[in-house]
Amino acid sequence: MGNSLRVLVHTFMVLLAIFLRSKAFLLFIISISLPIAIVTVFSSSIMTLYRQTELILDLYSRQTSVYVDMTYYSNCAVVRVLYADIVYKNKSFSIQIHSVDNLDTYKEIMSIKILKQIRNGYKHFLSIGRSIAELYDIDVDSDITICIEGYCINRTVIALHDGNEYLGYIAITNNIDGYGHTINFCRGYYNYAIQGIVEDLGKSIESIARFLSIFTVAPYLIVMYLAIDRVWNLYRDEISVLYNIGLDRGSIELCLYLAVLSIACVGILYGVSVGVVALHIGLWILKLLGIYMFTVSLPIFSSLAIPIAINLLVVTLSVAIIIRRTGDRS
Amino acid sequence: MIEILKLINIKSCILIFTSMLITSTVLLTVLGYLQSLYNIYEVIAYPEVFREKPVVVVSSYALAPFTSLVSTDVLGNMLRDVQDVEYIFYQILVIAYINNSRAVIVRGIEAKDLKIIADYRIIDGRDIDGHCFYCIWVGKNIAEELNIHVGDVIVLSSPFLSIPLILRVSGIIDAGYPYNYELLSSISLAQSIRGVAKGYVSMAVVVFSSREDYLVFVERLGLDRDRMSLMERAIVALKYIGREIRPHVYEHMTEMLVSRLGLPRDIYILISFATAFIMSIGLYMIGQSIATMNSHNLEILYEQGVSSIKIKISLAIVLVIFIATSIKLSLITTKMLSNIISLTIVGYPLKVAISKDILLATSIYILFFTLIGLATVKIHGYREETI
Repeated sequence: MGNSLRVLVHTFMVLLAIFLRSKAFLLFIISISLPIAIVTVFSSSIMTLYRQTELILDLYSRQTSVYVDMTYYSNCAVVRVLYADIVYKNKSFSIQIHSVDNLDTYKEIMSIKILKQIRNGYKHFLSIGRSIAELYDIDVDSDITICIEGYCINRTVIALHDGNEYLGYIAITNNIDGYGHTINFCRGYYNYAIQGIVEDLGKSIESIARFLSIFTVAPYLIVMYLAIDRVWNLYRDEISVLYNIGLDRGSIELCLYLAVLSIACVGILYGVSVGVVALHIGLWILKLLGIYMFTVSLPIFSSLAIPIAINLLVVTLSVAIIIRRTGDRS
Repeated sequence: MIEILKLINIKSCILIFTSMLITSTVLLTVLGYLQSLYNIYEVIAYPEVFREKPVVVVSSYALAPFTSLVSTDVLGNMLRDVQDVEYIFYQILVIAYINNSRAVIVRGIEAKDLKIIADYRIIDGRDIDGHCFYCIWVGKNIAEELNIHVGDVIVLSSPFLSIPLILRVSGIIDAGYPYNYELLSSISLAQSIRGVAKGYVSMAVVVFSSREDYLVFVERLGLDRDRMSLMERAIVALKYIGREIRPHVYEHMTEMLVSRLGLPRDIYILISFATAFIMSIGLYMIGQSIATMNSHNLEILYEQGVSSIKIKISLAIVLVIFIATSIKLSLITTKMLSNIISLTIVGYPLKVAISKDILLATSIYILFFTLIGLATVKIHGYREETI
């Protein structure tokens, strides 16, 4: 047992030595390391982009914003959003109405400014946005008719409000139920839209980069096969010698697999290193051009795992095919 | 020569041709997608219908068309007394977040302008209305993707606003690419989503009926008439420095945006061509393989007195035929792949864009590396002496 292991190790070392001395070694290393280097650049760029994005998001984290949620939380305003036709002084127009239960919470969350308000005492609150009020010459204390899906009610304008442009075009009221959609406006402690957009863009860029990196490996698969074929051509005479000194075919094949896979692993490590160096050189050039990246990330194994696995699988299959092909011939 | 070709193993030919086909397809696909990604702003912002006309797109010096702003008053002053303006229209482009699900582009444009640039049709609902402040129109493809119908309520969160907008879908529009992948609204609503006052737009497209008047206009902006006369079109970016407005001219929208980042367009081309170069190195092996895989037969020929150069020229002719055929076939394969692969950015599908430059560069790379590979093979005793 010990003797056969020693023979195997010696055979492996002999094959490795022949391989390292041969000029085909360089081609084999290139065919393995180049696609891995490209994949590493893509993968590291994505990670750098993510880190950069996280930093940018962190800058916006103190900026609060309102978001819409379907589940109710304590810091949310429950609003029924409905669409109505307003009739005022023989003029008719469509408007979006927010019917709210808790007016104070709504005003606080939506940052509504009440510009003008008449005395309290009315059962129903109705505020018209400034832009609509100016457009149709509506003022407080005006009586208007609100028609929703054919059902009309009369209400008095209690207040005029303002906020951003959108809020200037809506009406706010209470006690209208059974129409429209219920929406919860909640105050979030970060900029919800920016976070969502950046994450979505990140996903798109990641999927494009991932596709391009896996696609880049594809043409090298055949090149790898051809490189291993060249290696096999170099080994033929030496393998004949090994047969002649009494080694069995199985042991030689096993040693050949191990030798080629060892070199492949070296090629992969070399490719990752080249990729990282290339990325840093690229970022250094960007810095010279005035674009400063706050962080530079190393590639993560999960993003390299698929291309590396494909490479090793193709190497193993190539050796198997070549051994079978030449074995049949011999 | 025919004798030499008869000795080439058909299996080696199939392997080499397949390798070339795969390499050229991958090269064209990767470069085509990079080009498409680079051109995306151009496609979004520049109306295809005016490609043949003298057009000036006036925008501001911004990172992306979604953050660009230009005052319509400033533009009005620039265009004062300029004759032969065939058409002028404004549009607002803003990136937003729809229904808590994904990013989307909202285009604020008037119905009459959209009719001219896209000849749209309403699939469902009513036509674009500039007066409705809570109405939004949805492009056909985005409506299908997000299952949006007329009458639905959508929630639109804008990075420029602290509150989301609740909008009602008033129509589904078929206006072709890129409009079918966007939300369309009135200018005033888009201004609100962008968080700007009336009188500001993302960009203005000015179409001139004569090239002479186009040159008069650009001269008025203080730009070089000779340089501008060489351009097919111009994108004028207004840079506000205090009260002074300084125009910068670019030929492509992306060039402007990339320049703003500090990266000249040449750098992008350099990166693409460097990627192509790295990917083509493998062809060196393929070039060698046609000789090494047929080594026994070729060695016999050599021993019979056929010169090494003659053998290599014959093999080179075979390789050139393979390369020409594989590039032609890979153009078809790339287009087919582009239809199958669905890569998107902000909802816009990316389609491979293969320009003549890319095709020429790819062909040269493939030819160069393959023939170099063949040239390094020594027909006699190749196994010991070649790398």
